[in-house]
Amino acid sequence: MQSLEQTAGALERMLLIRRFEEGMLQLHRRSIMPVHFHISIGQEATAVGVCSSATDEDVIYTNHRSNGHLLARGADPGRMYAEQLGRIGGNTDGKGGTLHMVAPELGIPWTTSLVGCSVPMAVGSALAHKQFGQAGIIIAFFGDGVLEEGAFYEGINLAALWQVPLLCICENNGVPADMRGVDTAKSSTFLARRLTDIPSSFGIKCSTVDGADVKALFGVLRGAADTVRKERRTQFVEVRTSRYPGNRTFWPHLAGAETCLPWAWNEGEPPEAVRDWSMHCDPLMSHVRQLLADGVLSREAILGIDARVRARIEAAMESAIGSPHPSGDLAYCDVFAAKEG
Amino acid sequence: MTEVTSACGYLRQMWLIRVFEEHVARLSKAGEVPGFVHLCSGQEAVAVGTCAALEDGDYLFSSHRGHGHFLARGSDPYGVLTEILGRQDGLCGGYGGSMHLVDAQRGALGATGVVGGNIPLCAGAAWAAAEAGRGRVAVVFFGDGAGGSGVFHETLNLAALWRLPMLFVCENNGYAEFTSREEHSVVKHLSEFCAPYGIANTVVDGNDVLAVQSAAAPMVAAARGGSGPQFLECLTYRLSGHYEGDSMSYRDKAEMAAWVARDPILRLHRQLTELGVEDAALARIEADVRDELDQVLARAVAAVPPAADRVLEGVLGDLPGRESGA
Amino acid sequence: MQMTYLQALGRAIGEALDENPRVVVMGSRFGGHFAAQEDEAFGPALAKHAARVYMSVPIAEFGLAGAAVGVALAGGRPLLSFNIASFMLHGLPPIVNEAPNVRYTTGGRVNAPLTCYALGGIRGGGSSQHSHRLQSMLGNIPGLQILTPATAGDAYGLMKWCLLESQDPTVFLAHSELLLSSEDVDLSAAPLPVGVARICRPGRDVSIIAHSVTVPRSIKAAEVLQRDHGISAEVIDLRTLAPFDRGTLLASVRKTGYAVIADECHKSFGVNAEVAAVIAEEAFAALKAPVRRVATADVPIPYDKGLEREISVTAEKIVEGVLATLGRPVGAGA
Repeated sequence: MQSLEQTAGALERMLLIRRFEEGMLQLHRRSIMPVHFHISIGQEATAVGVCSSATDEDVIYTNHRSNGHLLARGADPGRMYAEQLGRIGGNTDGKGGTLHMVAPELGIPWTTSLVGCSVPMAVGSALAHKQFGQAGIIIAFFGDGVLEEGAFYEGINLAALWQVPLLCICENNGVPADMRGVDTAKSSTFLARRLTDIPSSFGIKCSTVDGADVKALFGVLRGAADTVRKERRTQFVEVRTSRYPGNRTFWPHLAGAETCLPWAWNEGEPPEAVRDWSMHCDPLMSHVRQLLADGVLSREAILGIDARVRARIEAAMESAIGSPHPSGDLAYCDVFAAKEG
Repeated sequence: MTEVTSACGYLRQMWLIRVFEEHVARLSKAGEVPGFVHLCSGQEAVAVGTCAALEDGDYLFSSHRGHGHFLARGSDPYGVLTEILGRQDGLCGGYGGSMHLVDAQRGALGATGVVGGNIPLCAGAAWAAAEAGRGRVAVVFFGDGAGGSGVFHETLNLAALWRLPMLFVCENNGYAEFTSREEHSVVKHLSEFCAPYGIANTVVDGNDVLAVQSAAAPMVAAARGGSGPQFLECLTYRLSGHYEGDSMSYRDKAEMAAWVARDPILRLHRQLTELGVEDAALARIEADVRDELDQVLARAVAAVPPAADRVLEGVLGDLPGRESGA
Repeated sequence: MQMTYLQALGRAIGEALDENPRVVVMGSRFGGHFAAQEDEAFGPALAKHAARVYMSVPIAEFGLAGAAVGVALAGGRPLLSFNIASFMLHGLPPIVNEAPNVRYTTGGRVNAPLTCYALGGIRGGGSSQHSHRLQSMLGNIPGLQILTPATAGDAYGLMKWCLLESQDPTVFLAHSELLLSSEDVDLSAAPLPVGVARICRPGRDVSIIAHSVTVPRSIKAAEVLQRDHGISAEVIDLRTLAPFDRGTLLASVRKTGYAVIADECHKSFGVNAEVAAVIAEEAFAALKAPVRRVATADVPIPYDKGLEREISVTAEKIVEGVLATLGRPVGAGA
């Protein structure tokens, strides 16, 4: 049972991610964001649920869709915007960018953009933790597409053989709304009827959960993390979410309007483009409705949290936009430890 | 063809492979073979039983342990042996060697030195066969070691997704090079990976050629008929090392002895005896094979090496203005 | 102490395991088909540190390469053996598209000190798929160190450096033909400086630039050149390709005025091409003849040994290359 602080904290984190991503869309609309990017609207609860079960010693592997993971882990949004824009002050001062969002001080040492590649690395880090008696577990976030890559199989086979403390969070984010509550899949590129059949065939313990049912989701995630921590063996969780309408095209865009929390208590109506999704698929909305129904937070309190978050995001964005681009000589730094003579 | 006649045919083919590999082993030990060889002694029934189910025009993809696959498919033993010895008369003119046999006329599109490497290639051939609509099937042989390879899993998905006319044949001999199955895999049978994709699969005694053929035939027919990919797992054992020269220090003597007692050739002997075939007839099959291969051996060791003056040719096809060689 | 290249490797790895508890050994074999010699050279050390040895592994190069990167990111110092270099091609993404990017892309905040070991080269009958020389392909990946020691002593020193000192990803390429080569190794010598080439045979008339297996062949060629043609050839062993020692190379070429590169990679886009370009850019004025490249022909490696020899870099071909460069008649004695 979560405390009020935890509940409010979880909501604040989810809102932070939501407003950050809406900010990314804004930066794109304003032609400030220079390249293609990926947003995690609709997947906030997963990141927050996992990271709230994580300890400081845990290590996280994320992917190209990383903003939610980093923010849930406590990364600074200002630095993150700067990194997305390739500016000084970003997590790597613009060397990595949108596909390589890292935060080594928060246990996110290296982020790959190659689908499937993170799993073997996560397995290796988990092996190292086991080998050197390090307490933390390894958490790997990846999408459903990873199960089409051979690298996943090679990695999961090793995880099963070596018995390593790894928590796999597979974010299946293209599930039709009416199928989130079941565990079967239907894909034009992948034939397994259930994604979890694959890791199960390696003897890995699996669970499946609806990523918009925040209570159930948090429970499953905490349980899985605790089990990995205790048993020091790999677990696989498939989290099923339905795709945000703004994420169905190549370039992410704002569907309809920015999230308006009063929609949760039927004050105003979401625009057509996002109505169904907001009503049935949005974990943030679903969580807000649940909090109100349970009498945990009032509407005012919820709006107050949102106002704080929005102010923080605005300041972060402005600060990043004002950051300078890195100077040319940075391009030659840090190829190797020692400078070549 | 009667059951007995077919079975005698299988016996002949298994003897052909067994004796052939004996010759290769001797040649390798004598330093006559340029590279390394991976013998399939003990695994003959898998090749013979599977190839018995194939028709003309079907494609075959082999592995590094592939001499038996080619012989079972009907490749000329002289062409195979001279290729292993690196002679001009070899299937690839001496350019490929033991792990790179190709016999396109018989649809044997290649062996490979890469574990699991031919699995996706076979899917491609099956896909092309389906597109061409001539009812051909493609079969690929691989060992249990290929289960650790990502591309094996990728191909299971692709084959099932596209309902390819493809037969996966796993020669599960319990070892990936020098590593036992328990150490390299969490599953006992690679066929366990088929279930998520709904791929029809069977496990058979890979040392019973009649059982292999009985299992392979309906699977090949099903694939040919459009039922999608099929997976045949044959439990077998290699009597030799991973390569010739391997001391096999990682093998347990009792395990070896148990499998020697299950030799596929001895097995078929017993089955044919039960079917009324006389010992003399069985002995003659072996003797004929030995005679044939003695002659092949004599010709092969005398065969000329490839001419060096063509070594820079054939890297790329002809294009106007393109020079070949360095 | 007299030891073979393979023994030197075993010794270096054993000492590294002793000296640093973060060293971990993974993957496949080190000695290729010299199994008995490998067991003798490596067995005791690996048994002693069995808890840090993961060598009963599936055939999963991508998975293992990625895992080695992950071990390094988590503070380990892994050594991953691929056995034959050609197998590295299956584990390429972590080696070329993850590890070398880590330090640079994170602005120096994170590093991935892993070592990938493999037996490269044309080994005799390896045919097209087991004979790769990957150093030129890998040399075009910034952020990846590439070591190609040619002697037992250098193998010992460079492997210890990899496992104990290196801060970045490294590919260590041995060669089947070098594994049983033997020399007197000074185990108490100061650690080998990385990125320093070695003049293994001083000379006046021509610079022969070699690495890995072309080093002994170049030395043999130099002996023939001296004995039969009165030519004094200087042989340089590059030792490491990244970092690359331009200084020693250029000083030699400026001294002799003639450069012949002996490279087991294919000629086109090979290591030879990079060396030739460096010489042309920075020592052009010193050259008395064009740079000559003696390299493997641009063909997949054929199986028959005669064909293999035809397209390979032999001592004879190096001799011919030198004679041609110096304008001497080829095929006749002095």
